[in-house]
Order: sequence, then C-alpha cells, then structure tokens
Amino acid sequence: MNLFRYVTRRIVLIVPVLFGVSILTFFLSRVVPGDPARLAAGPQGTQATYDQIRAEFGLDDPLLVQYWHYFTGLLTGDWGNSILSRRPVFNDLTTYWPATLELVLVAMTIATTVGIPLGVIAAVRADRLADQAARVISLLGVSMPAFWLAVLLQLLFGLKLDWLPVSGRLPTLVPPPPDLTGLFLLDSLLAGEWSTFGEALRHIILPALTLSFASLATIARFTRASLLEVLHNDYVRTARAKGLIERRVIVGHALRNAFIPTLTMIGLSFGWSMGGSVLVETVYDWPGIGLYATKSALTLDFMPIMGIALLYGLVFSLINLTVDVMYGFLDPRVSHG
Amino acid sequence: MTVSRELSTLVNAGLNGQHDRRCLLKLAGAAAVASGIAIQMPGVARRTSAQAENNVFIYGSGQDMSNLDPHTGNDYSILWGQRATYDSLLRYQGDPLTVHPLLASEVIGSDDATVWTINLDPAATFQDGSSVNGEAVKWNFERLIAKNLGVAWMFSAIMTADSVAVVDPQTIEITLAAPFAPFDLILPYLFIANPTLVMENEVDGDMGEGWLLSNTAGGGPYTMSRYEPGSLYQFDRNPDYWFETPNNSNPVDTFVWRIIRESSTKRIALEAGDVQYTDTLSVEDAEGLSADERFVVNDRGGFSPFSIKLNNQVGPTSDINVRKALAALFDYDAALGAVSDRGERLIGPLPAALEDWANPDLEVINFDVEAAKAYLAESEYPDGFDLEYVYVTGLAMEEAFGLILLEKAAELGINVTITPLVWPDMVARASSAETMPGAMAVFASANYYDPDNYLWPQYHSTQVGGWAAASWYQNPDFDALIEQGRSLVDPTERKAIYDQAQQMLVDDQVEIWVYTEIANDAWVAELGDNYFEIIGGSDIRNITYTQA
Repeated sequence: MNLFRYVTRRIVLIVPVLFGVSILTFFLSRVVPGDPARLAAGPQGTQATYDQIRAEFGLDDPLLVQYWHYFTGLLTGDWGNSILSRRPVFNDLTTYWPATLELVLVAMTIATTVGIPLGVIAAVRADRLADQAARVISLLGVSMPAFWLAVLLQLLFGLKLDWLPVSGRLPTLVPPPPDLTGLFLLDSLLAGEWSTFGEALRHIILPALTLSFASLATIARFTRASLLEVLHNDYVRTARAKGLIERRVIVGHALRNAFIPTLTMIGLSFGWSMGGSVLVETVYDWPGIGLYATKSALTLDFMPIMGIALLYGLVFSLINLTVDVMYGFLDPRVSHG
Repeated sequence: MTVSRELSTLVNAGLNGQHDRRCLLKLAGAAAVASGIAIQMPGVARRTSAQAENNVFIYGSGQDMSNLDPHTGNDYSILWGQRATYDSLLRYQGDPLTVHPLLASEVIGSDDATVWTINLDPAATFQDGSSVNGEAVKWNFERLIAKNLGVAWMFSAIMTADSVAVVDPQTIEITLAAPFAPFDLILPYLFIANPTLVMENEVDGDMGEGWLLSNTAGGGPYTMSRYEPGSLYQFDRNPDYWFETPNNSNPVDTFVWRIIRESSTKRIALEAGDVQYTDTLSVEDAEGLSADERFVVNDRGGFSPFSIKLNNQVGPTSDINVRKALAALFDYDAALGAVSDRGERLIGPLPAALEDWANPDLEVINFDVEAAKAYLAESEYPDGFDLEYVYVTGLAMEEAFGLILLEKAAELGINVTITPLVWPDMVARASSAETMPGAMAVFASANYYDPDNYLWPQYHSTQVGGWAAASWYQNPDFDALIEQGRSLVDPTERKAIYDQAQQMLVDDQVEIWVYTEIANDAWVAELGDNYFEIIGGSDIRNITYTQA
C-alpha cells in the first residue's frame, strides 16, 4: 500500500513538472530570434501570406494569450500544428515516438543483457584476460562514434555478407502490422504475423546494436566497479564460508547489493539513448522522433519542439519513477514511504 | 508449427499475467532463437522486398512529402507525389522542358498576354469517374488563391479569384490583372482536385485542408496506397486512368517514395538494389558510384544558382565599387574545387542550363586581386571594412565559400566574419535591409523554364523582404524592363529584353554569382542516361522501369 501511495504521489507530482516544461519551452521558443512564419511563407511569399500565417497560428496575439490557447489545447489533446508541414503535432508524436521507443527498448535490452554479465565477468576475473577483453570492449563502446559504427555494420552485415537489411523498419513493400502500439515487433506478434515479426526483427538488429554499444560499455564498467567494491565485504565471505556455490554468491548476494549504481546508470542510459538516437535513426533511416526533433529544431518549428519537450519530460519522469521503485525491490532498506 | 504454437502460448500467458521465471526464460530463449532464424534467412526478405518485383520504382530521398495538398504543399518531393496523384492543366516533358497538354487540350494567350483561354479535354476524369469540367477548374483556382500558400505566389501576383470565368463546361477564360507571358509555364503547378470529394471532407470551413494532408482527391495516374510520414509513400497505378502518356507504353506499376536521409545509406541502398534512384548524395558517394557501370550519376548542370547576396542598401556593400571588389576577390575556381568540380561557373544571374535565355557573353568580373584593389581604391572604403558572411548551419560547402572569400579579403583589409545560422534566422535577417548582413549565401530555387522565374523574385523591387531578394536591389529601370518582359509574347523580343536585364544586373554587380550545382543524383543504368529532369522533380508518368 505504501508503494501504491508512493507511485500515485510521484505521478501527481509529474503534472507540475510538465506544466513547468510547457511554460519554459513556450517562452523560450518565443524569445529566440528567427521567424518560422517567414519560412513557411515560401521563397516568394508576400507580406500578405506572411501576415496570414502569423494570424492563423496566433503569433500576433499577446504572449499570455498565446500560452493560454496552447495550454488549453494541451488539455484537450490539441498540441497545435506544425507551422511548416501543417500536420497536427500530436499525430506526429504518435507516429514517430513508437519507432524510437521500440529501438531504445531493444537497444537497452541488448545493453543490459550483455553489459551486466560482461561487468560481472570483468569483476570476478579482475585484471585477468577476460577483464582486459571487457575493458577493450567498453573502451570501444564509449569512444566509437555511433554513426561510424553504423556505417561499418551496414557495410559488413548489409552489403558484404548480405545477412541483414541496412535501413528502414520493414522491407519497402511489406506493410506495417495493424497499429496497436506502434511497436512493430509487438504488433506483429499480437496480430500473429510471424513473417512481419521476422522482418521487423531483422531490421532492428543493426540499429539496436549500434545504439546499445555505448550504453553496454557504460553499464559493464559500472557493474564491474560496483561489484568489485562489495566482493571483499564480510557478507560475501560469509556466504562463501557457508558453502554456497560461487554463482549464487555472485548473483544472489554480491550483485544484488552492487546493483543500485548500475540500475541508476541503466535509467540514465535509457534517457541518453532516446536523446542520442538521432544519429542512429539518420544512418539507418529509422523513422523515429530523433529525426523529427532535429528537423523541427533546425527550422525553429515551435509547436513540434514544445511537444517533443513535453513528451521527453514525461518519459524521463516515468523512467526516474521506475528506477526509484526498483531501488526498493533491490534493497529493502530503501523506503517508499 | 510447434515453435509458433509454443510462442503463442507464451505470449498469451504473458498477456494474461500468468508469468513466472520459467516462462520468462522460455520467452527469452524463443526470442534468441527467433533472432538467429531471422539472421539466417535473408531469402525471406528478398522474396518480399521491392527489388524482386518487376516494374516497381523506388526513389530514395532525404526529403519527406508529408503534405500532398495540391494547393498548400510545394517542394520537389511533394511535387513527385502531386504529379502521381493529380492532373494539372499542362505538364512538363522533354529536354529542354516544354509544356504539353494534359487536362487542357489547348491554352491560348492573347497578344498582350493578359487573357488566356483554356480548352479542357472532354475525356478527362477524376479517379471517381466524374468529369473534370470548367467549374471544377475554377474552384481549384479559387482555393489556391484563398489558401495563399504553396505555389499561390505564382498566381496571386497576376490574378484574383474573380479572374476565372467559365465559358462552357469545357472552356474557361482567365483575365489576368497584369500581362504575364509565361502563364502557360506555371500551369503545370496547379493540380486539380475533385471539388465534390474535397468539400465532403471539409471541417470548420477549412476547404478540406486537414483531410488533404494525408488523402488525395485527384484524377492522376496513381492512387496513394500508403502514407507513412518520415518513412515512405506508396503509389499504385490507376488502371482506369484516362490519359495515355506519349512515348511510355509501359509505365511503372508501383512507385515508392522512400525517405533515406544519410548519403552513405542511400548509396548502399542503391548498390543493394533497394532503390532505383537517389538524390542529394555526397560528392564522395557520387564519385564512387560513377565508377560503377551499373549506375548513372548525373552530370548535367542544374537550375538552382548559388550566389553570395550582397546588401545593396545598407553598409559598405551598398557601394558598387565594394561589390565589384568583392566579386574580383572571389576565387571561382577554388569554389568549384571545393565541390569537386561538380558545378558550373555562373556567368551572371541565369544558369547556363536555361540555355534559351542565359547570356553566355556577359562580361562578368573574374578572380583578379589587383582589379579588386583598384575597385576598392575607388570606393568609400579604400582601407577596408568589416563584412559579415552568413550561411546555413551545417552546409560545409557554403562555409568553404566563406573561407575562400575571407582568405583573399584579408589582403585588402576586409575583415570577414563567418556566421552560421539556421535557415529561419537567415530568412529573418533578410527580411529588412537593416538586419541583412553584408553577404549571405543563398541557393535560388527554380520552378519554370523562363528568365522571369529568376529575375522577378530575386531582383524586382516588390520582392524585397523575401530571402530570394536578399540583395535588396531596387532599380526602377530594371523593374520596368522585366515588367515589359512579362508583357511580350514574342520570344525574340523577350530575349532582347532579358539580355538587357542581365547586363544591367552585371553592371550593377548586385551580388557574387558563383555557380550552379551539378545535382548529386544517381540511378540504376536501366533507367537510361537521360533520365534526369531538373526543374521541380520529374514526373512518374514519364518513367519506365522493368528490372532485367
């Protein structure tokens, strides 16, 4: 019950956070130089066209009036329209966000399922060959630019070996599965479209591998460092003295206690991956929100920028909440009261 | 079969909340097995992918086409989609591009280029089978002008909604507010939508604008079967299309516009057979593909001239001798070298590809530092000045041109500051002479094969404030000249007028005309050598592609 109250309270607290984000992004977007209405008017756009666009998007109203319209729109699901594409921002977010979410989820799955064991092996065999190998992998992960790794993987697995597709979420002429969540892997499974699932899986492997590499390296290093700190503690020695098998000692006792910093890092990596997905999305032609955000920022398209900031604010808040809740499961001393 | 049943059971168990550690382990194992199978079966993708299908044409482009509304959306990618799904009154074809009948069987201009009579083809229909008549065309003119977006600027400067009169169901007459000789050349940009269908989907008086973002209501040769913004757009051939395109008895069955943003990915996709055409490659990728006989890389000069706009109204660049000094300081060969010679020197304001109109005999200023010194000595700034050069953030070539200018300018005491800006900021800076920097890098856009398309928007006094007219050139004599050019129908008389206009701009050294880019487009050899059409993208109805 404590946990339920805690989660409810945290969710309620997200509302003022998002309110703050909306105020901040709204007013920042209005004070930066540049005028997307002139861009939207086109190269030969007349003053009349320009005035018409400003009036249509309410840009001539006082700032507080503009914000009031924006805020009330948010509450009713109207997040405004892009001044350039004229498409509703909310529709765009629901189109692009699932692609990024799917990519990040798969990438983080790879990063954690490979990174944590790698860190454990490195810690258990500290300063031996396995540790050195893990260190090299980690160094490569944090130092290799994602776009470079992406092109290498494309050339090797796409062009040379012809094993995996180099871009897109599905083959060009394969239609997406019925849209339930926007996550092609999940939607195709739910619809029983196994061939589409296979194709979606093949298409996501390279971009997810690329995106996961930096997080994998960081998680491995954090796991190693945290585990090394606890491996010489008394309770680990006690566990061994009790005759527990080594795997149980490491996973059941040492790792569980050493996992909180790693969990924090996983949460942060999740956020970084969302923000950093733009390069991977660009190279792999992945129609995610990173590209949408970049394009909107470069054209100062206010409404999408504000919508993306709100969405990211919400997602980061939820990630933090999830991580905080998981602390309690890992360490009963952490209270959710 | 067993595997799929097991997976199904696991998924159902997961959805019903009946999960334990063993269940999760099974799922993870199944996922791993599926991953392995997926990697091991490239043949599956081949059978379902486009490249194995005959007569499927896939265009890999970095640009989206998210607004297909015929009256509010316009850029080269949107044009591809609009031409596939809508008919226009006339269409472009040939080399050089000329207009040909489509919905209009005949377009007749009066001697003073003011009254235009358009006879419609009685066989023309929309995709729902209804007839394209004069009332429908009139409604489209009215909607375009009412929306005042997209290509409306081409029409709204010379006509109003009241300019169109329906003479009979197959004839309309347009009386322009001012003479406009190239009127027939802009008609391919007015795409005719089905008024009945559009108005059935009107919401809050928007004339169907919201609906037309993602739906089509035309009579074109293709219907849109997939609309996936940021990813791809698929168009399937309309079997009941009324018009038979000359010289193409085997048009493509399926046309796909696929968004691929990164140059290296486009190249790999072309090499892997995933696309048949791709554009905006990097110079390195274009050069790499040109060595492979399976592909053709465009080698024709383009229609989008690049120039360094100089502020003719405010600051040192308002001095004609300063402008001439800057033109003489600019190393044009170095600039072409910076783009690996994938460009042609621009002689004056018109690109060489506009061969019927460009004057190659113009005496322009060439790179000559001594001449630059002489011009500067005659100016009000003999000891130099500060000059801000503004370019689009991230465009390396524009930055390189700034550095080329900077290097030589320093020798004359001209202190060049190079400022990258995002495009909206540049547009805002160009909107007034006071905020316009001394120099600004600008690629002009091209729409129709006529000198008016270049000279009016960039140099006519009424156009200042827009980025195309960033030089803020205001010369009543020049205005009068190109206004006369609009009112003449005879090509020979017009040629003389526009030669004179080009010379006037060169004499005033309005800006530094640098080069026209050779577009870094590449395509599969099966499409032929002369596939590339340069103004506003090509027309899918002219394309035949069948994989060997």
